[in-house]
Amino acid sequence: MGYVAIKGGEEAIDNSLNFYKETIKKSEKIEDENIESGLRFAVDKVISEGSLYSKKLASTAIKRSAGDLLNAAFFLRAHRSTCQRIGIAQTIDVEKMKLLRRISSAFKDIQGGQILGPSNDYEVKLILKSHQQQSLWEKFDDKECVLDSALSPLRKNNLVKILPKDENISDITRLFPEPPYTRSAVMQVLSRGESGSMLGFAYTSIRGYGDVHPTIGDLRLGTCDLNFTHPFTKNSIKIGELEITSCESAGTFEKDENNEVKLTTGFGFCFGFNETKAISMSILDLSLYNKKFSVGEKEFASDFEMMVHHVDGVDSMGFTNHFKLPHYVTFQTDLQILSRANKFVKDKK
Amino acid sequence: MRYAFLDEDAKKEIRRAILKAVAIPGYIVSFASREMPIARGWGTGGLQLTLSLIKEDDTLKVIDQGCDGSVNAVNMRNFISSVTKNKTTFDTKEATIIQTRHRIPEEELQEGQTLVFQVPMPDILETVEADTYKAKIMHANEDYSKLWVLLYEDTSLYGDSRISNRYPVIVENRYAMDPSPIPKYDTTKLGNSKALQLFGAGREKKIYAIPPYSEVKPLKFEDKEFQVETFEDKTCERCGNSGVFLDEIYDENNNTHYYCSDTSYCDKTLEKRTK
Repeated sequence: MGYVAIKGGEEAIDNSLNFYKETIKKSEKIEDENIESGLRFAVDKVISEGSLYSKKLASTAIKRSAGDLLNAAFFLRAHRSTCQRIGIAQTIDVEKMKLLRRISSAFKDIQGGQILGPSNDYEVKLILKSHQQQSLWEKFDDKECVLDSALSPLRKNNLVKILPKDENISDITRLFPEPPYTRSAVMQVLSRGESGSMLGFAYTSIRGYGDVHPTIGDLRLGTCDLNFTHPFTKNSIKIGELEITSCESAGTFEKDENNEVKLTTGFGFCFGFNETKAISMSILDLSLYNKKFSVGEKEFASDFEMMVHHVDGVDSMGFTNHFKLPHYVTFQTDLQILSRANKFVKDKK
Repeated sequence: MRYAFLDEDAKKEIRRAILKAVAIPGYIVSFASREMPIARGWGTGGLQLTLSLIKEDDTLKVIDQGCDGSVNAVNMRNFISSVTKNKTTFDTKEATIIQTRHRIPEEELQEGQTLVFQVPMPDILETVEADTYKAKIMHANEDYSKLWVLLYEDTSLYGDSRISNRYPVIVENRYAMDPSPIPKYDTTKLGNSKALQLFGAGREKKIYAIPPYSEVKPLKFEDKEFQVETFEDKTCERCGNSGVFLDEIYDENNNTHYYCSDTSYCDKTLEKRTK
């Protein structure tokens, strides 16, 4: 009888969890280090969306979720909220990072040159046969490779639109942003957004529902120092290094308040190496903060409400999956309303 | 792990939000919702309220769809017990904190009890206005015209509002409020309740409240009756209760059976009868 089955929740959950553990049991045989070194882009996606820079924990999370990366990011977020906040690190300057890769599609030649670095852009996707000849690659020393953004000459010539800086930097984990959204809050939401959602929204604005056609001004992968001001000695102390991706895209131009025509740019930033996400974010930034001239109202990606509330993977995954919870009380109320409406419509005839 | 999982700063902030919510009945207060080890959208708002309120001497009851044994209720109760070691109960009368999803217990709540609702969509204006900035201004101006227009359109097309649950209510003659997805049958219990009613939306990061003995009215036209779900002459097949919210269950032979939705009340009635 249905009634009894519903009440057996306790046992059902235990059984289901045990069955699940059995199903993903083989993942336990994978060593965490193998995930960290072998599936680095999965790890990078998870630290970025989980908004916690710990490749070690991300590897454990990927294992625990048997490769479900949304779930792995969720593990990290849940862990993150139990961590005590010690303080706020110094601001990272991406022009000071040690580069592994830096390209610009805006200029043929740039100061420091185009550095392709480790990239699969020109890999031919043949799954069965790899045609890549094994050969030595040019020795690369990232220690000296610190370069200004390829767009900085334009910025120095006052050709780039500069957005005003927030006086107080928001912290979306302590104060959820409310409209009108501050720029720092929006950038934080985007930076820990789900890569797929961001790609989807960015794609709308570059395909049919927006007028962003960005030129990648400067896309860079590399490491940066994480510095902290010591609370007592006030000395700056390096506490670690982060692998990061940053992207600056150039959009169209517009007139600023001084009636000068300026080039618009968008910025993308995330933990780990995730070029698609950083490019998507720079497109969304362009789309949000600059005027539209062509498709007008049909845009999705220029709507702050749309972006701030719909790019988070943990939120959207959780709510979409909650429909699996029992809803029979509300469904029953739906049916009662339906039957009354039916009667009303019939009587009216 | 610390008592009740959340760190003290988080609890403090949530308690402050609760105080503000109680001070302005029906008004939506933002809070820095923490990520919980339970998925967003699965009751993390209610969970954070409970965890910030619970003290060692509290007795906890958790229900989902009226049932203490439903999967989500079990999961919530197990998690809260694991981080508090508090006493739990199925008995509505015995509980000091009742966390619920989609129902209000049948037995009347008492002073000193707190009913914590898990809320998916905290702002009733989301039904008619997607832009949260505009919705905030509408609340500020007590501008609920779009809700009235929706009610009017529904009434003219279908004879009544098409909203079957999370029916809009007006609290203390001021704020339009989303009572969470409870049936219209439960909407009538929100007003003049002896218990404190708190609403938490974790994903949407909002808290609101109905203090005890507040006036809560469903949004309705003066000349229209507020129609709740009825089960006519049906009674619970198990305990014989009538005039309560019933679950409709179909068996293999396609016969319909009715049982109390509030399973603990059903058990209680049955126990009294068999004594």
